Amino acid sequence: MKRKLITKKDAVIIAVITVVSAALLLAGKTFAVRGERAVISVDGKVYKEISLSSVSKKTQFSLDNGVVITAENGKIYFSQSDCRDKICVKTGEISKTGEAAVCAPNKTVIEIKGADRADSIITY
Amino acid sequence: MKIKKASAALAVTLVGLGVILCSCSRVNTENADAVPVIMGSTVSVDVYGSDKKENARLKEEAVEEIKRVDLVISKNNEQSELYKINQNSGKENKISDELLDYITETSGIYSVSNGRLSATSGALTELWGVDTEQFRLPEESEIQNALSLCDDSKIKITGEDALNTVFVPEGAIFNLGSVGKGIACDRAARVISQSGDCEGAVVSVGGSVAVLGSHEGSGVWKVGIRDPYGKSSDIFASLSVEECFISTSGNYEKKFEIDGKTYHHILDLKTGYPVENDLCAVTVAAKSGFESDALSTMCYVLGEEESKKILETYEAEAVFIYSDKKLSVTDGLKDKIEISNKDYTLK
Repeated sequence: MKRKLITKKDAVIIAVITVVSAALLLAGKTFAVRGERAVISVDGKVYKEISLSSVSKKTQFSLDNGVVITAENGKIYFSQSDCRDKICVKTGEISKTGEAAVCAPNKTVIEIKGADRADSIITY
Repeated sequence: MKIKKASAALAVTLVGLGVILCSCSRVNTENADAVPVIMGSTVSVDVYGSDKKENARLKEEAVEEIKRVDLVISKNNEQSELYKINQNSGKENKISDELLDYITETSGIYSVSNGRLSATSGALTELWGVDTEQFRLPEESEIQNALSLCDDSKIKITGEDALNTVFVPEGAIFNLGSVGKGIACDRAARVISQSGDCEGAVVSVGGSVAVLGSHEGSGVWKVGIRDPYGKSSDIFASLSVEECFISTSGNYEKKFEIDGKTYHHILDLKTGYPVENDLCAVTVAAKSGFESDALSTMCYVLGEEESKKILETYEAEAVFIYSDKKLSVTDGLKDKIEISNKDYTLK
């Protein structure tokens, strides 16, 4: 059988990456602002929320799906993944509100969010 | 050939998906990020709950409600009901039940101030240019003339329900600016709690805040109090409170300088001049936004001693912030305040 350049699986992965990136791009309007929280989602559910400003030393999170995520003060990144393309690891560190790193094969997304409004209510 | 077809189909699908997604999320993100300016103030509404769509819907409804309130009580919005009535002083004017309620409640709560605050302070605030922030120092005679028009006892209301009319002497001007943001918080809160399937919400209209229900399973909200001597994002303390309304009145918000003397925007209707005392700001937590907004202004004008009984009447709590960074906190807030800037100390 002739090998296709793009298999169905590839198409799905590309579609997921495109869709997620487009959504995150639009969602994160203020790229210049340093983010407060990193939200790790697996399969559409929040796996963990990390306050990046309060991470004092390098902390690693090993997920069941073979992904390892590392958080440092103010930034976070995929440090390991068992996926084939390693796009997630190649994305490198993210730190600003609206930035995201995606591991499509493992359905894992890290997104940087701004400070929660509930933490920044001010009367004046 | 097959591959090309497949790629083309994939490309079309991706572009199609992209377009659909872009148009959808643009609507959503615009709503989520938008900071509307209503009543000359930035408005923010955040709704917490598991149903994101419902949260977004409630937020939109709350913002719409604040816009609607603005069209009733805004003194500067030429489309508002209040503006039209103000243009027609000296005559009987039809008035909606809603606006009439706001006016009677405002002159009611201020009635204990011995005429130092009123619902008809517009003649004086306009003279000083407070409302448009084009400040000027008026002549003494102008001030005396304006003060005679800031008398709530001259408001005449006739009729019943839909037939209500209101009359004020020619030149008298209603000004609900000192309660408007609080009223807007009340109305937005009502929309959210009446129609909502959410856990909680935060409404902020120009620094008047409503914290409602709970978030992440906790009914305690942390509300920062702006540092009068810092930037607009600096806080010097925060209050950990359950559902309530919080407003602050301070001399730092709007001010101007003439001949080396600094004037601020909170006017005393007894003197006709900006209030002069050793207070820098007063923050009040109350059961409604109307009360927190009115009481914070009243506490600032009357000072701590005179305010205590009034606060008790409304079961409201306050933080008095003095110019020397000393704080006086009423009993109900003593274990709820956390001072983060150590330059500030309790009196």
